[in-house]
Amino acid sequence: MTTLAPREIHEIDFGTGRRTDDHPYLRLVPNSRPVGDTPDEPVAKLEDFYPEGFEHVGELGSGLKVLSEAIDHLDAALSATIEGRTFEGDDLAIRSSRCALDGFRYTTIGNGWGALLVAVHAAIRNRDEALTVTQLEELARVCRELRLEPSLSEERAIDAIERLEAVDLQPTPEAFVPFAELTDETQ
Amino acid sequence: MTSGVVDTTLIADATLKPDKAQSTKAFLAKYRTHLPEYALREFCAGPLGYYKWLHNKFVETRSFSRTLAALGKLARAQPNRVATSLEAVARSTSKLSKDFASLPKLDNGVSLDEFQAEYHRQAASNLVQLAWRKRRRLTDSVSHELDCFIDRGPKLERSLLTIDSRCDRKAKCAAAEQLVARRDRLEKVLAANKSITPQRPEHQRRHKALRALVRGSQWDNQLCRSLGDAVFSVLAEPATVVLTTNRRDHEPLAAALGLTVDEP
Repeated sequence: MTTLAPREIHEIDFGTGRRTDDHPYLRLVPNSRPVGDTPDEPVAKLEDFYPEGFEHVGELGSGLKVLSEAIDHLDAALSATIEGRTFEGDDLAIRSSRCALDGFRYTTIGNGWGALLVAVHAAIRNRDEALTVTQLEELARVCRELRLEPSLSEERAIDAIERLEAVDLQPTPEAFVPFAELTDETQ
Repeated sequence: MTSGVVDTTLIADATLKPDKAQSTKAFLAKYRTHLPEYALREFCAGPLGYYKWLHNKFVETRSFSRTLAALGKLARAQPNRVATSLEAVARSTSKLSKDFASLPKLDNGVSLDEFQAEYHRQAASNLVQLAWRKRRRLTDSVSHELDCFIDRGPKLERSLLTIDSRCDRKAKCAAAEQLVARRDRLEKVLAANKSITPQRPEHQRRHKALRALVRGSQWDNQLCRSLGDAVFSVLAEPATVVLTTNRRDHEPLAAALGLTVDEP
């Protein structure tokens, strides 16, 4: 039987299996995975997340790289917004949306990956005014969760998209407004 | 607070139309709302089904432009409305085209048309799953449950979206039973439906289904779908308001029972 134990969870580079953060948090995980003691020691193997023989390691690395860029832009946008630098905050939001779209192209990473990045891109694209602190925090949070678990299921991605909607973001692309007109049979 | 019985059109607006979701929720908040489960049956077979089609068309064509052309051909709206909507799609996707053009090239050589198809396919999948999750949360209660309605929701089969929400053809039709239990109301709605002019095909199909129930003729479960708008008026309690975006079709049926209709 699998037992659960508290483990330090780190953000890792999938290419090297090494830690990329200094601030782990604790989570209950199956009590079977080794934990690295030093930042340079591999803490996880690709097989912990993907089936053995997963062929798209290159795409995974590239996707995670642009996702990290998106997170950096969102964090910077958050700081700028808190400090009242509205134009800079909005410019950084634009940059993060481009990164989300760039990351979406690596669809072999997983169903949840594509689902969440479309939503993040559309949510930022659909803004009609500067994103609020709460919205930027939630966007950064869901992107961080995706970086920690790029293979997340589509169902869990939908959970995250619901959280984006809960802070009044609109994660459905604009084209769905005229799509709705075209499919309305009551007219 | 006044009670309102909610029809399918409002569930579709609140879950599938990004530009109408907020105003629809605000409208519903003015009433104590009840959603007959029949509306969910219609929702899955109708509006949600169109987005399933859209998703699967993107999968089939792997082309945004070809999917759009197919959508234009199948749409039942007036030709000028179709043209306007297609122009609006083109306008809305021009931003996406610019975003895509700014990205570094990848080795897989995906064209803009393929990329847009995949982007919107994924968005359609998201929208269907979100809508299905929200469908029972939008009203204060879901009423008149249908034992014959299997509501398992969306899933992917061989990359195609399937909505496993349907009638159990072997079970007794619960919607028919609920209406027959209100025979006097049913008869009034039958008469009101017959007096609507002009009689469109949906009115004629509804007449056939309502008449079968009033006469106690053998019931074919496929007739259930033809009952349509009549279900909401017959099931509404006295002094309840029928809530819809389609006042024109509901008003004659509701008026026959002394009910009012409200729309956002």
